[in-house]
Amino acid sequence: MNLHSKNIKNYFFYLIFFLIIVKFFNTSYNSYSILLWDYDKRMTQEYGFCKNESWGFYNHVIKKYNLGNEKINIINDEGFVRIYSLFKNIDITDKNYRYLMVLNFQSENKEDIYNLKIHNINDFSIKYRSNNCYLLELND
Amino acid sequence: MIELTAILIQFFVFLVICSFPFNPKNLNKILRSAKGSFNHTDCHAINIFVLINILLVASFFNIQLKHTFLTLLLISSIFLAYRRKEVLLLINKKNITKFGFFFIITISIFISTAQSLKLEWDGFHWITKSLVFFNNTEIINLKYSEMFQYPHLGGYIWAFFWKNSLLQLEYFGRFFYIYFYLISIFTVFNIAKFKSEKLIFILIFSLIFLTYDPYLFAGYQEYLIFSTLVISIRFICTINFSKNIEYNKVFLILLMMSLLMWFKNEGIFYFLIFGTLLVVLNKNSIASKLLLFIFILSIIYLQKFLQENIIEIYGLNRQYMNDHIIDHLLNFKLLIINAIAVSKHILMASIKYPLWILIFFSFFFSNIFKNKKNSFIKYLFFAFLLNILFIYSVYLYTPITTEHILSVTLDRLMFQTSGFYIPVLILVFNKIKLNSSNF
Repeated sequence: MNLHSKNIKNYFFYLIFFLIIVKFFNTSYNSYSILLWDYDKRMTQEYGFCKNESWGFYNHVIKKYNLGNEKINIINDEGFVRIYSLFKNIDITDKNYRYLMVLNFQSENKEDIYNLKIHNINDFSIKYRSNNCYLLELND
Repeated sequence: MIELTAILIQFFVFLVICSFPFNPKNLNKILRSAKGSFNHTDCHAINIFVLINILLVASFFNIQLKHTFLTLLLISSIFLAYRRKEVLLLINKKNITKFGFFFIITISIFISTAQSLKLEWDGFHWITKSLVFFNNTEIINLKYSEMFQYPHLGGYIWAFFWKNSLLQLEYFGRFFYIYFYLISIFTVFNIAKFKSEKLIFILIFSLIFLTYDPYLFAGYQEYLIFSTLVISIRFICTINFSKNIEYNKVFLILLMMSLLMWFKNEGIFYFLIFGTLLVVLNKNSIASKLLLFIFILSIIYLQKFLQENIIEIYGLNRQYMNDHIIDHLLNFKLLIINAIAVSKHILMASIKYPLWILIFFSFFFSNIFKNKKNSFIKYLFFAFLLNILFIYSVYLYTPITTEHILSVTLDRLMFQTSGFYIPVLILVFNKIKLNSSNF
C-alpha cells in the first residue's frame, strides 16, 4: 500500500470516528437546540413553567415584581425540590417573609389557596396567579 | 450563537489556565524521570491539581473570584507567551489529531450539558455551597448551606468558573468537572504501550462510553473524586515498587490524593487507604514509612482542623458515634442480612457501571500472584480489596441501612473509585500484545 492511499485511509478513519462521537453525544441536535432556544426557554423546558419544579414561574415573578433580596417562602405542593438556589439574589426564609410562592397547588378556583395549611395564610393576598402557581403578598 | 461561542471560549480558558506551571521538561526533572516519561497531557493534569490547590487556599481568604481568576489567567498567559516556541513545536500532525479528538469530545459533552442543563437531586444541595462563594460571602456561611457537613472545594470550583464565564450561567461552572474528567481519561492512557494511535483513540472512547454518566454531571461531586483517583493512579504506576522509594513522586501523589477529602467526606478514607498502601508497599525503612504515614495523618488533621475552626463544620455525622453502634455490630443476624443486601447492590452497581465488570475480569487475567515482580498490580489488588471492604464497612456500620439508601448511594460510591483500577485493564491490553496488531 503506498503512502498516499494509507493517508486517505487514515483520514477516512478519523472522519468516521469523529462523526461517531458527534452522533453519540447528539452534538448537532444539541447545538441546534441551543441556537433555537435561549437559556430561559431551555430552563423552562427542563423544569416546567408551572409544573414539577416550576422554574418558569420563579423566573417570571422574580423579574416581573423585582423580588431580588425580598424575603420569600416557597412551597411546592407536589413535593418537588425547591429550586430557589438557581436564583442568585432571592432571600428564602420560613419566618417573617413578605412573599409566599405556592407552586403546583391543585385548585378549582383561586380562593382555594386559603385552604393551604399555613397558620397565617389569611394575612396574604394573591398578587399573581398562573394556572396552579401563586405569588402571594403579605397584607400591609 | 452567543452561548455556543461562550462554550468554545470556555474550553480555551480551561486550556490556558491549566497550562501553568509544569511542562514536560521541568516535570521530568522534578520527578527525576527519564526524558519523555511524562508528556504534555500529564503536565496538564498536574497543572489542574496546582490550580485546584490554589483555589482551595483562595477559598479561605474571601478573595473576589474575579481577582483570583484574572491573576491566574494573566500568569498562565505570560507563561504560555514565554514558552511560545515550545508550544509552536507542538503543532504537528500527530498532536493535532489527538487535540482534535480531545476537542471534539469535550465540546460535545459541554454542548450536551448546556442543552440538558437540569440539576439532579443532590445538585440542589451542592449549589448552595457554590452560591456562598458566587455571592462573595464569608466562608463561614457554609455552615448554613445544605449538606453543610460536606466539604466545599467542589462548590468553590463550580462558583469560580460560573462567575468567571462569559455569560455567567450556572452550567459553565460544571464544565470544569467535565474537562477534568476527560483530561484524566486521556492521561491514564499514557500507560498504554500500543503503537497504533487509532487503537488508543478507540479505547479512550470506549472508556468514556463506559464511564460517562450525565446524571452525575448534574451537580454531583463524584467525578471530582473519580478524576483525581484516575490521575493519581497514572502517576502511581510510574513508581518502581522494588527500588528505593522515590520521594518526589510519592509526595506529589499524596498531595494530589489529599484533595479527595476536600471534595467529599469519603475522600478521607480513600486518601487514607490508597495513600497508606502506597507508603507500606514501597521499598523503604520502617522509620521512613512511619514518617510518611504521619505525613498523611497530618494532612487529614489539617483538613479537619480548618473545617472545624474556620468554617465551623464537623465533618462526619457524629450521631452514628453512639453506644448503640456496639449493639448494632454484635447483632450477627442483622449483619448478615445487611451484608447480603450490600452484596446485591454491589452487583447491581457493577451492572450500572460495567467498568467494574471489566476490572474484575482484568484482575483475573493479570495473574496477580504468579506475577511476583509486578508490585504495582499487587498494589492495585490490595487497594481493590480494601476498597470493597470499605464499602461493606460503611453500610454495616451505619445503623439505618435500608434498601432505599443502598439503591441511591452505593452505585455512586462504587463509581467514584472505579477509575483507580483502569490501569489493570490497560496492562492486560498491553500484555495481550494489542500493540502487535496491525491497525
